[in-house]
Amino acid sequence: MKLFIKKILLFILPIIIFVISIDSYLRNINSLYQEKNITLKKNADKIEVLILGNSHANYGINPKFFNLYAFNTANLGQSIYFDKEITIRNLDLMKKLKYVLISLDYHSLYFSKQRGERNIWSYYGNGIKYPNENYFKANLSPLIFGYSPLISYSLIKKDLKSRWNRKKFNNYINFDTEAGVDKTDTIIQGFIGFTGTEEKSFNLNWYKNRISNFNKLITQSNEKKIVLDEINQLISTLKNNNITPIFFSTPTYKDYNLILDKSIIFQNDSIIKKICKENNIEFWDYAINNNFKKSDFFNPDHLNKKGAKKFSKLINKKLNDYIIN
Amino acid sequence: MLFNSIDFAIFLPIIFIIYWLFGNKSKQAQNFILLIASYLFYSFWDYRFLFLIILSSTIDYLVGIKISNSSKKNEKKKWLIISVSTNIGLLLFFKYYNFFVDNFINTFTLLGGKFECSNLYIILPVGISFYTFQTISYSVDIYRNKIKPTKNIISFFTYVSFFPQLVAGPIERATTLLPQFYKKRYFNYIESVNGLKQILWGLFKKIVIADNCALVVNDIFLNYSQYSGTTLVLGAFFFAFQIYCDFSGYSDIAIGTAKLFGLNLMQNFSFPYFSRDIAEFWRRWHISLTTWFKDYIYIPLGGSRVSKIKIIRNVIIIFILSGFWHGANWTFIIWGLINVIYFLPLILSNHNRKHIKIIQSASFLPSFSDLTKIILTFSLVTFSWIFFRAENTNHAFSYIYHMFTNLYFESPNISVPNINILKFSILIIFLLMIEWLGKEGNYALEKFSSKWNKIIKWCFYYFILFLIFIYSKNKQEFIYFQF
Repeated sequence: MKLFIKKILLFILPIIIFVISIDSYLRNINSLYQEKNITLKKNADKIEVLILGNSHANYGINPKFFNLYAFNTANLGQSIYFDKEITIRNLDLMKKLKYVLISLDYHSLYFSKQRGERNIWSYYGNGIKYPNENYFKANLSPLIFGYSPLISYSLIKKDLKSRWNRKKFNNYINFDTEAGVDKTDTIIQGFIGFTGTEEKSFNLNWYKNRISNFNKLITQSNEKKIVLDEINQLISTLKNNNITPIFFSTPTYKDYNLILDKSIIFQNDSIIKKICKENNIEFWDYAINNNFKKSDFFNPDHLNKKGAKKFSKLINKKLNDYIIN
Repeated sequence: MLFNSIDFAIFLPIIFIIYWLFGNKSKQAQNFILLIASYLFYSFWDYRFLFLIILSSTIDYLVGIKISNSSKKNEKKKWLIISVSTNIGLLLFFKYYNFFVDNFINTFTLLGGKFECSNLYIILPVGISFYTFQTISYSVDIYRNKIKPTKNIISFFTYVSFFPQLVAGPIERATTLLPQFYKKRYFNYIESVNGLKQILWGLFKKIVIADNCALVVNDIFLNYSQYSGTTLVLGAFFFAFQIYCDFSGYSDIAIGTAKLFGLNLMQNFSFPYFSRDIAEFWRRWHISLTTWFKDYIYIPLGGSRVSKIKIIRNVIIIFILSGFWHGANWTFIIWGLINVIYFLPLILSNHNRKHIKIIQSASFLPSFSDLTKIILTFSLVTFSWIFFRAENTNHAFSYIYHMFTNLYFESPNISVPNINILKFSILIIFLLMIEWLGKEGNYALEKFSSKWNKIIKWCFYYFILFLIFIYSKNKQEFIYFQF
């Protein structure tokens, strides 16, 4: 028995050492959430326009093209709840903040809890907890419970690659990004965009798959009421602080738009218009906009850097006009 | 509590330490610890259904004594009927009530009548199909004078509820498992290491293969009308591995866990996908259930030592019952009937016992003839699994229809998040390779690595653990929990 226990402990010891080492590595790994969180805090006193939303806004708006100092704090899969929390937490720091651009797209009104492990991932980056979510296990071991082993493996692999490349290229980014983002680009005012166009995603099957996933999320969602409450909380907080909230939507590719469920578009439109009317808020809807060509998109629902520049200029002009009027 | 959960990873070492530290004084203490642990294990799922296990155990404990004490055959029979009808009654109510009501109404409506009866919302108690069969075998074996009834209530209750095999088998016989509870167990280093190896292999099969196959299979079976014929064939193929690795993985963990407590459970799977015909497959697949049906139904009906007509009848009864045991759905009955079609030609031509030993135990690769037979048997089995997996008969027939009508010889195209089909196929090849090399043992790792250097052996175990770790994200329940 003693021999058995001894050997078990001997066998387990390297595993424990391995888990502890990987956990400490993961705790120090940078992410887009952390990067944005840190730079937002650093530049908070300058920020006049804050951009909120999910990946569509994250890749769609380049604050560099705004006349006012803007910061893009949108992030991948980021729900309104997290938009609201990021804003409220940093409100005291952003003394010059005048306008908050809130991205609302096809599926934004239907998810409060972020999909997959994103709640926990963003928690590691910006410390925001989702209500009633247990973070004990995620704090205990990011490897086993937080990111999960498969994601951890991929994160470490990418991080090691990035460390290696940073030796070769001075400006190589030190956080994980999606494929399509040029790793030698610099993140400026929270923005780092897609480069080029992913040809393989411009086909009917891709559109159908993508939209069917959104439709599934929308039809199965029971979080709509929660999201609407969160939007209202965000609006009232901003208004109480003399900050103007503005809703907007990013352009999506024309062929892709044809597949979208018209009833969902109609439903979204009437909900958003109702909120706008009740709160006297602008809604700048660019989702269906034929001025954006295929070369402006990375994939059918995400703009690339070229498209982001075009769209940001458009929004900037709209904002300037709005300010003047 | 799932075997592939963190809860179990904490539960097992705690019980193991308590068992060998405090239970070392007597067999009673050991049995008592196992009984409490088993009830605790079951309570993690739903404590309310513990009363069913206790009820079934109590009835069979008392009936066993009554059968043994009765001097007249009729009286013995009467007690046996009480035991069998109580257990079958529980099973019928919890598992088949709604099925019978639905089919009764459908038949009545088809005949032009009108009959109204509402369904009940009945939760299927986990493990009921397993422990009821186990307790029935106890009463029948006493009736047949194969064993004497136990007077030790703790031993008997532990036998019925022993946690490693409580919820999904193997379905143990009182003749083999119960006597093990009569003796004090002593710690055996070799058996314990063997148990851990078997648990490791079971977890690999379950977490790495079955749970990831499930993602692909679920997607293909759900959206089958959108996929090409080749993709649907791949879906059936993956399900064949899912169900094998899910169930045999569970059995390996159960048997390995029992070994840690000094107890031996029967082998439940013996490399069934290396079978050269269907008869061999059924000797190697879910052995504890197959032999249960053989011993308690097939042989009492005359087995294969009766006229050809009766043999056909017996085979049909066995496979329909086997199908029905798996669930209250016509798909399982059709699955059973398909196996009748596969099995009958072999038994009627006396070829059913052609392949008794495991294939080519001495050589490294199978002969061409054996390989052809293995592939053919596997294909037949895989085809029948479509009915096993389908939601209902329409779904199964429609899946098969699409499988053949959509066969455009295009390469399979599956887009399931987090699954790289090519990488995953390599893992299935790895599984088959290890199983092939280890097929002489009771489970793949038993003899496979026994001659290796200790460092290489440990590195291999770490590698398996690494794979389990990496692929542990897509945790699924064990399929056989639903039966």
